[in-house]
Amino acid sequence: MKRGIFLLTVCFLAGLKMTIAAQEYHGITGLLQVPDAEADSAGTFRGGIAWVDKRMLPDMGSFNDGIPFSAPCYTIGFSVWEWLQLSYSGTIGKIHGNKSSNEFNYNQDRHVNLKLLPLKEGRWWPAVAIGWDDIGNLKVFGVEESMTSNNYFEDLYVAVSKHVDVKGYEFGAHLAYRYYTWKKNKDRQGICGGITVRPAFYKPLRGIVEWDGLGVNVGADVLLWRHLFVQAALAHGQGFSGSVGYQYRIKF
Amino acid sequence: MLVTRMIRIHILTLLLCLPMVSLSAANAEDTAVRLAALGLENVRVTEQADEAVFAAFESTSYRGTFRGAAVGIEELGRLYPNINTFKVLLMENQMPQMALTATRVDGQWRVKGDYDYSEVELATSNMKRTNSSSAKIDITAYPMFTWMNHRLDVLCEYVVSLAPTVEASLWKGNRITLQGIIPVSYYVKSLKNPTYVRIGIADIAQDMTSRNGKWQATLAGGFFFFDRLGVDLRLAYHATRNLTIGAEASYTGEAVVNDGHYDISAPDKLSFLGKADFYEPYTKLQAQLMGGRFVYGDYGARLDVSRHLSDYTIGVYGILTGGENSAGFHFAIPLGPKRQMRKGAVRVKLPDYFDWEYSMDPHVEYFLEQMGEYIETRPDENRSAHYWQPVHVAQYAQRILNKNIK
Repeated sequence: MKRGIFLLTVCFLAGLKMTIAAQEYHGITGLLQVPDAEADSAGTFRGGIAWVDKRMLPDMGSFNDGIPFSAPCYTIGFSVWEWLQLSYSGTIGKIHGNKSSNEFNYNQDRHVNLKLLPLKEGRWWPAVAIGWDDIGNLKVFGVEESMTSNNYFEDLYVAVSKHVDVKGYEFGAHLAYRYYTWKKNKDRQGICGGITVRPAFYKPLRGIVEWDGLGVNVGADVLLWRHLFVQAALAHGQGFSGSVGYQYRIKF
Repeated sequence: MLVTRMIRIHILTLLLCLPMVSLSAANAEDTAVRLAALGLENVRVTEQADEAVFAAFESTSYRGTFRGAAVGIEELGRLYPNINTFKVLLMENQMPQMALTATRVDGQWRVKGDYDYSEVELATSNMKRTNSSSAKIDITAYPMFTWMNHRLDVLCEYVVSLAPTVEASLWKGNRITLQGIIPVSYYVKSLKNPTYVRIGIADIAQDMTSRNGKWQATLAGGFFFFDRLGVDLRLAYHATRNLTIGAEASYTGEAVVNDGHYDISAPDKLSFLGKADFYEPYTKLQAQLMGGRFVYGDYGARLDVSRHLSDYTIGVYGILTGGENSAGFHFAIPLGPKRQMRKGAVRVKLPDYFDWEYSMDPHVEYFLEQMGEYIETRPDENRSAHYWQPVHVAQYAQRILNKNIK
């Protein structure tokens, strides 16, 4: 069980500064379940709630007695600079607070995410991002055989993103490598990525197809009236995920 | 003949000077009235030989520390189109805080700030004060939100309260605060205290400063956050425009509501902290380090790093104390409007900011033994309100004057 966990998500957006979309349960910029190298304008706040399908969630230990489950999540995130994003997220699930009892109660796993973008996208090169989800203890490598903490979402990743404009349509190619610290999430470890498209007729809309290491997710998101963010996805062709959030950019 | 000529010369000189003297006096008084009409208080204005205008004022009607300064400087610039240098003394509770020097070149403003306000204070000290803030009362309803999500048997506990607060300043540097906390909605399994109406902050404080603004001190006595009663002394030395070194000592006892009545203990807890505060203008980062003995006797240190984004401040912190560690984040965001005019003796206003701090509390001992606690003597103690950092204030006053932000 996670206590309050402070996780910084650092995200640096390079290149095209269109309306930026977020990984729904992380509160940082990304695709659906897969990270990317897009960042956001400095001073952007985002907060929201999401329903995340079990196929998009990592193994969450003793939650729901170890049985995968879909869950509501909440998140708040902030772009401190264009190259640094932080977020705090919570995932709600059932747990037996008193192990000797069959009664359960709802509780939450909290985690903090950090995304850093050291390289901005250029005309000929992609943007590069480095991220750390669910920052917990600093012993990241080698925590494989047993869960010594409750960093269910913990992973380190490197992501690249490149966009091209074709007759007003913005196509994005995104590739990432994720290292999960907990053995039970190792099946998702490795290469992941996706393709995004923003139509010429309505730039705030984005279509997404991604491979998350286990299956294909398809979805779309849109930023309405410059503040209301809505995302919907089909996980592995079977489960629904969706989120609603608020975005605000501070003028400073 | 010589005497006659000299008399004519003296009379001529006197006649030439009279319009200048009478014009300057009228302008300064009229300017002070115009500034007061904009909501500025304790206004004093004078000119220096058509080269510079000196003004002192307090911007109680404007949110934050830089917005009122920008309003005052802009109005001065409009009233004195032929003068391009304006030196302004900014005050709070009638106590000088810092000085700004604003120069106008080709329609663009350059603003510099400094803790040393002696020049402006000396220039304006004998001028008539317009729109005094003495004995004016502010009534503010602060919302309070407590949220705890560390228990295993419940999703979270929360308390939503309303804290009506009366604030006034009777004399120079004085501050009186009376606040009650009224729980409005709550779900708390373990604590009784948050569910009772109780005193929040009820104290009297006195600010003091040296003539050159380098040293500042504040002495407060009364009820403080959270559930403390006693005295608190703060000292600050502005080593440079960016670096302030300080210390804080408090001697307090407990003042807690239990089962509907107050349990008050005599002061028995001594806390002392050394502090350092640094502001970096390019990144707009503020770094604060404090270490020593916290309120409940644990020894440790805490580092806060915050970024100022106009009225907003967002930051993170880490603390190591009593053998335990914790971290968290905090923010201060604008809540009330940019301007809330004070036209009579009593003003009912919205809080300027909403500030909140989230603590990880990863260890049970850290939470149960209330580690890392320090005294708060005013209801809006955050990193946006009352942030009289001259580089920061000058930076944002300049951005407002040059229409980069509103």
